Amino acid sequence: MVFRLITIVSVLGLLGRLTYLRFLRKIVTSGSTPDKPLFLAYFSWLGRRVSELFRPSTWPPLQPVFKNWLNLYPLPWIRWVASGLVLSFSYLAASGFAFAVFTSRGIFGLPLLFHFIAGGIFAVCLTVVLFFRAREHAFLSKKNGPPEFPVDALSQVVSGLPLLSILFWLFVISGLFLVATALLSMLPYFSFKTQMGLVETHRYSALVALLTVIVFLDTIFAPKDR
Amino acid sequence: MPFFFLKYFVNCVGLTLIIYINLVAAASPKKQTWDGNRTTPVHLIPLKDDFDQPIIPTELNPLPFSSRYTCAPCHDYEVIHKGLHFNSASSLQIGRPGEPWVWVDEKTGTCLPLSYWKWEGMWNPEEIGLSSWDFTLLFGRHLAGGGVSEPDDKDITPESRWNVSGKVEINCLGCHNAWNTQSLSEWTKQILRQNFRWAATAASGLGEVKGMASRLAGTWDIFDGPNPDDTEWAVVPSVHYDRSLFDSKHRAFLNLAYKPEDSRCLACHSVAAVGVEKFSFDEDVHSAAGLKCVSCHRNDISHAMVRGYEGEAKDNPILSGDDFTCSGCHLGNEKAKGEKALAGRLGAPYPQHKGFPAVHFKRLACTVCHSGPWPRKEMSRVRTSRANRLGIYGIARWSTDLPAILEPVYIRDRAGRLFPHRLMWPAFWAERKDKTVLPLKPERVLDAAGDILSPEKGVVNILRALTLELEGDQTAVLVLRGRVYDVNVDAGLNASPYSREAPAQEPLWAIKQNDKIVPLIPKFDPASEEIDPDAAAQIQKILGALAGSEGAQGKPVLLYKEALYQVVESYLEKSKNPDETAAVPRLAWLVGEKVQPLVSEFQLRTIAQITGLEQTLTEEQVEIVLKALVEADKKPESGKTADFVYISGGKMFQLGKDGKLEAKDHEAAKPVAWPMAHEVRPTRQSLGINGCSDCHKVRSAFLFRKAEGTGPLQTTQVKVLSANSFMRLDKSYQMLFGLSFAVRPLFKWVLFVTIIVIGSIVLLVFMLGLGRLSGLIEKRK
Repeated sequence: MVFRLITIVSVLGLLGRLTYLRFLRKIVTSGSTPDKPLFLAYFSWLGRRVSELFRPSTWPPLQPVFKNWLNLYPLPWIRWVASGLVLSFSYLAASGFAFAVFTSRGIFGLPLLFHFIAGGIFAVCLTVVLFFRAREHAFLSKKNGPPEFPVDALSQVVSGLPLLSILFWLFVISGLFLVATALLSMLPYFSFKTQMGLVETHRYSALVALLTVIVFLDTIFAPKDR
Repeated sequence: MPFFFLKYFVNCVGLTLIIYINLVAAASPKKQTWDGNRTTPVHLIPLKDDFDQPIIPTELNPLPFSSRYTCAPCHDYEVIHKGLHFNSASSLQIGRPGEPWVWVDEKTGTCLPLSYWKWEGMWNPEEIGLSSWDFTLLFGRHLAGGGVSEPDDKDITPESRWNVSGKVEINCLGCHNAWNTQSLSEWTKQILRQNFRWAATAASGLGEVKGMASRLAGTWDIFDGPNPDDTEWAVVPSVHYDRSLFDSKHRAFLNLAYKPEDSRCLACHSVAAVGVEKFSFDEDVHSAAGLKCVSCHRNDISHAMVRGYEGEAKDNPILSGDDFTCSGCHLGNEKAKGEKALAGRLGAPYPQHKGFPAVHFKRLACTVCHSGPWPRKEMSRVRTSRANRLGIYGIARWSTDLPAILEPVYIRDRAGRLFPHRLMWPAFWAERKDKTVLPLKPERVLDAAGDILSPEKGVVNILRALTLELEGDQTAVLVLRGRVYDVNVDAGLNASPYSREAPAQEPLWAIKQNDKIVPLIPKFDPASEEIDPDAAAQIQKILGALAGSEGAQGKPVLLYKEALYQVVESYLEKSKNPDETAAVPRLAWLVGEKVQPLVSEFQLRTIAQITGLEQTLTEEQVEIVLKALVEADKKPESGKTADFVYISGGKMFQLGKDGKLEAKDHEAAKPVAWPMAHEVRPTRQSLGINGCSDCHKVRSAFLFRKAEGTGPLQTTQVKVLSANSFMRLDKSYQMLFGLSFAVRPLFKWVLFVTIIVIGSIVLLVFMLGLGRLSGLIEKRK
């Protein structure tokens, strides 16, 4: 129950903050002043954006992201590996969180079986991607530029950090915890209490990975003024 | 003035309150409080009879002792009467299903699960017309007295004989007697003799009981006393007390145990696998560790015993039942009252369950892995004291093979958790109305069926009559289809293999002497005018025996080729065989002018098919009896006929439109199951000790073994259920899941390698960062 609450609050909170920042950016860049209170204007903007998600014509341009991705992974086989990482994580997050948040029992049945398989693919792909990309993020050197719209102190601090590298390492470390807890809970060495601890660690690592991915996606899909 | 009224009012209210409190206190049962001393008081007490009069053992014809009045001065009988062992017919607290009483009638092929509690698949005795009298006669052997066997006067039915037998009071000594003289066999004997009032006295060894209430006239009453005119047959029950147990003041020493010994519980609650030798039986680990049954199954004076299942506190809030579940002692779960209980009660070890995914503890009861036999390819067949009449010893064989109880089968409870269960397939004749069925009493089936359900009867009568005419070491036997049949002590037939060459004609009536089997009819030449005198004498003796046999259907004759021999006025006479020529000597009945076989082909066929098996019915018999039931129930005035069915092996058998037997599925034919908890196995014999593959593998016995319908009917049409269907698990998914365990070692190695690589890189980056921070590593340009 606690995990369910933390998940819902943290994911919604993060999504709220990220969308709110985009909303502010849109106001500043357009130079318009909302004719209603800021929060109401935000929700009406959010509603419009959500409805736009169902219209492919309004989707953010994927081509630059794809091009960038091709540049990052020039070799075809490593593209497959990166795709494997993306797809396996997508399934793992979807299946894991769906059962954790929306059902009273954990993941079971065929979804669990596929969760196992996807977990193996995820572990292998993460290892390969890390092996080839670690160098780029090793020294946390690439910092964000100064914030276009200094909203609050937090955005000021974030803008001064090498965000992509931090996200990269956060994802890798949470991935390491995910794989390690999965393996350890399959070994006959840990008592029931430790098993419960491993399960909890697995879940919170997954949450950290998910939040990291959300921020990462927000970063790579550059805001488009509308 | 107002003050006066106020004072008057207060006085009135106060007085009313005092009267009320006194009335309530008078109506409430005496609350016994323990003074803290842990010894059991010496019970040197006067015994009281049914009329609350002290028993003087030296008097002529003393009455049996009454627990109601003997124990009453200190223990509230009415409170105890509401306890678990006595309240099945009156309690509203249903609780978790328990073992049913099984009405076994081998002749009619009835194995009917009964319970006064409304448990799934079990029939209420009242629903099928069993009165408390019938129930007591059927199951009194393993009843603890009280409850249904001690009915209120308003519940006494006209056909009962409670006035003769007395009621079965709570048999306190049945559990609390610490002397080994306490005998279930003696108790059973007295119950079957309808000596209900005397049963406790006889079973405890306090006195010897003679006489049989069952032979007394229905008008006899305890006040009538002994019958001086009959000292042989209808002897009134009487007690001869063991005077060495009494002191000079006629007080009896009762050696009582506050906590009953396990043997007392096991008299009625034994369960053992069929075919297991006593010496190789492993007791429950708790017993082996020194715990008694009552260490966990506790009770106070109310005798509302802790059954020990999870959730009992909800069903029965008065008990602190959850303290005595597996987890209550081993894990120290929160008590029903909310306070934290300490783990390790009675020395219970704390389970580590290393490597077990937590889901197992949410979805499985402890007993799944720890109790009952290890799941093998076949379900274990067990016999229980109450269902199979165990623990009663005498000349006759008391225990029964049926019902066939299987264990363990894993079934979910209301909360969806798996529990190991015992299971039996009901078998009974029933009247069908629309979609529901109502079981028939065996008497009704027997009335309609006549001799159809006793195919061995004719053979038994003939063999008995023939044996009487033989030498002491000779027995008459029947040779039929490769087997030899002889009469057993229960007036049935025993079958043994016939190793010699098959006889020229069957059935062959023969003589068994030691291990030799010779034809009953001696060799002779039927063509000769005079046959050998010894052979003639033998034939005459045989025909004479047959003539005097019970149920003789005509005049016995011997047919041989063209001749017919019969005894006429003490002489063996030869005449012409009116029937077809007999190549070998053949015994038969002459009914008028017609020759009939000694035993019908149907009887021989049925005997050959079922003798020596636990099945007691053939499909042919069921078909005939179903027709007989319809015939017996015909109501010419209404033109309506009832519809009858027979249930066995998980199928319902009925007559099809063509009059042939057909089998169908039906709700009433489903197996009846109840959770089991013992015997608990040691940790090293628990499921999962060898890893996940104890349960999760492609050919897992735990998941995929079959429960095949069994019953008194010999048939191939039985219901077969897979273990996974009881668990409500999908077979193909479980097989796939089991298959995944074949690649798990490789999977674990892959994960291990990835962890090493990822971990090393992360560590390396961390070290590099640290090196740069400390200046040990220079920044690249």
